[in-house]
Amino acid sequence: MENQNFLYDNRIVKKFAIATIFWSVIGMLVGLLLALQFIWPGLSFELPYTTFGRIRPIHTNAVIFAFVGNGIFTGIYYSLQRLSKARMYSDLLSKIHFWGWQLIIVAAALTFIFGMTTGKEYAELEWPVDIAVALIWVVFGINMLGTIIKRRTRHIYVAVWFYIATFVTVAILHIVNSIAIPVDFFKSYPVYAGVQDALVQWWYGHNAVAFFLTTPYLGLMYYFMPKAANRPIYSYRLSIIHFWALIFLYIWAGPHHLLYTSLPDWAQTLGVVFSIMLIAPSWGGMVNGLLTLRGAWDRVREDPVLKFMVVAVTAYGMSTLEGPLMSLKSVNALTHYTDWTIAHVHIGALGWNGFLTFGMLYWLIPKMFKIKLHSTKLANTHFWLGTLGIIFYAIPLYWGAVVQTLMWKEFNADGFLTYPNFLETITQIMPMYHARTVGGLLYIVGLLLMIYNIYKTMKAGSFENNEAATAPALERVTGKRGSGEGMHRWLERRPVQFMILAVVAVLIGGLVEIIPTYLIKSNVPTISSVQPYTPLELQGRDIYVREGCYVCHSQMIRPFRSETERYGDYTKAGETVYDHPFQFGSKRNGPDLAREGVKTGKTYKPDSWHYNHMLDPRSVSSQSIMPAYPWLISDELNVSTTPKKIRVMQTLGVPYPEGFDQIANDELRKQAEQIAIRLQQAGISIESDKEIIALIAYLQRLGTDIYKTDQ
Amino acid sequence: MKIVIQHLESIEGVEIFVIIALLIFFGLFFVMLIYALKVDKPSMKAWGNIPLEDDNSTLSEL
Repeated sequence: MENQNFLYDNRIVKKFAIATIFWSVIGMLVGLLLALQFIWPGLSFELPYTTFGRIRPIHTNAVIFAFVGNGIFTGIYYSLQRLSKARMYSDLLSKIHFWGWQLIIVAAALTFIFGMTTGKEYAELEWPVDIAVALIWVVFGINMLGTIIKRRTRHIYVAVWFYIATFVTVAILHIVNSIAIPVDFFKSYPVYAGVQDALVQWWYGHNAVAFFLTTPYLGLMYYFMPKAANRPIYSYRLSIIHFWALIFLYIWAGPHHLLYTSLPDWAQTLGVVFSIMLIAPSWGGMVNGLLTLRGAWDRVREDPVLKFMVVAVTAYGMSTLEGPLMSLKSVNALTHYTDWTIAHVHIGALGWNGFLTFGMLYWLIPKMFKIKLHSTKLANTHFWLGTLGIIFYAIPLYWGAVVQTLMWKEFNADGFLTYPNFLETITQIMPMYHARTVGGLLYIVGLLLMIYNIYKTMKAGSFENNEAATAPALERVTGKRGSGEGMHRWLERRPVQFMILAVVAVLIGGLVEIIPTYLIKSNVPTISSVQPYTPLELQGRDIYVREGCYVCHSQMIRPFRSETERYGDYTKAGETVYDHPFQFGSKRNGPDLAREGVKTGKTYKPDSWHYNHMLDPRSVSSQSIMPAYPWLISDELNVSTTPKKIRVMQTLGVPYPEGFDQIANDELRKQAEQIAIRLQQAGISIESDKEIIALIAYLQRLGTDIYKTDQ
Repeated sequence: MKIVIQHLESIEGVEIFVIIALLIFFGLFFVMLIYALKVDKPSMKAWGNIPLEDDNSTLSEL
């Protein structure tokens, strides 16, 4: 039992910390640009690279995977070594992990700018980058598990369980949701379609929140809060119970993103019920965090680290009550597609993730650089700016959401919609969008103060790449249970078996929700008049996905009178069976498009309207906030991909006739000619080989199948 | 996806898989819950103190 001397790797922690800070600026500045584009749509500069639809995924991916991601790794690489009393398993894997992750982020930004996207939120990365993510994630997992296996501590502390659960679950989620058949190097179609794709996507999407934004940060909370407060966590027993409850329940909550859609009712109900149950384990975490400071609240007054952590945990508690309440169908009927969702996300993102990252950095950097923080006053100012920023961000959006949803739903005494023009529901809440932008700006100013403060601290301090430590090696214990040793004691010595149990817990939720939607035919009743997209419409759909139209336009009419009056008949599950990927959308910055093509429908526009609207939205709707898409009019449609796309769709089960890929382009050109002729008759001079023709074909197809009678 | 579904569809009484899965699911959770409630207090206290064992909590001495 002699002491062994070893070294903690601090260099990798420093690298991840710097990366965290670097990407925080980029991610939040892109967010600011998005907020400004609501107010000044001209800020897309009429370029394809800077439209809202293309840069929104840059913002979401940057703040989630680049900012929070690097924050996770900073905290894990620091805490895991010390909780294991062991250096990271492999310095080489640490380096590969670090540089691989940063390269992936750069690849993400570039591919999104060029419109290379899957059209699925938080899973927009196309398949080559997806593979890179999987590889680097495995590198991270091997490094982490290897460290746990060679640890010098008997008990695996609860923070490490959160890290294990994160690793395992994110791997499963990423791989399953990303399964796709490539068309070419940067375009693929998911193997899922329509309602089933929606379910898989939101099983993934909600659990990205759960296992990327929550569990790793709970792990960080369980380490860094005790360190900062110099007290143990309030109740270790509670941490065990809420950990397992969390990972059992969270997986099932995905369908709460699909309430009142064409997802089968039973799946929606599961999502609601498990989301409500989730309040308990989530608040277990919050209670544990806050009560750790019982009797020490006077220290919170002085210490910015504790301030950030307390507000972070409070924001976590707030979001994990708000989320489940938004999962109640009656509440969701009001909040879905509105800015309430955005406000909710940002309480969690700015409050929980942002503030806990800042608290961790303000504690960690002085610790590692062996010097006091350059300015406590500046850190406190950051705290107040950030807190005000969160409030100014969320409250205007709550207000705007309520105004908008009530306007959407209001009928006058004669039984007609009071606000039939969607655009009016946007213009009325413009002041709220202005205020929200101020909130975001305050938050960013606070961030910049932190960067200056951290920089000055690093400069004045002295850093050691490796920190000396000493601990006795673990005694080898036999494989069998020792006398009097409980089952858990046996289990905790076996991180691999622990991992497998976590996988089982996590998988069952996913399988029980996903498989029946495939096996039980009545979940997606066949509608015989629904046919695959024509080749031209398919190309147009891919343009719709490329430009990220789903970011502002939904394609899912809910069974409410206020929606059927505004948009047309509600969307049926059988209508979207050939949609690879589904494009239900999550937010309405513009009207729903599900029945855009129905000639007798509520939202129908002739081809010429679509031409003029895409060229310059404000020429047809003066107050529109949509960016302009002039390149669709001048760019030629790339039809060389048509045969391959048809063949991939056939592989995915879409019933194009045998050999159709050979004649697909002929069909395409015929249909394109028809549309060009119609446009020319309306006084628009256009060649039939332009991209706009394909997009118009797609838009005019939307929602029309259920009205077709001759087959 | 089709391959997986075709395989599953060919199994007679495949719904037993769901039932077994749910039994494992809730069973594991309850076993964990009972265990966690039975662990003695001193062990819990010791485990809760693990992060503080390496003596580098908040720098108050600098």
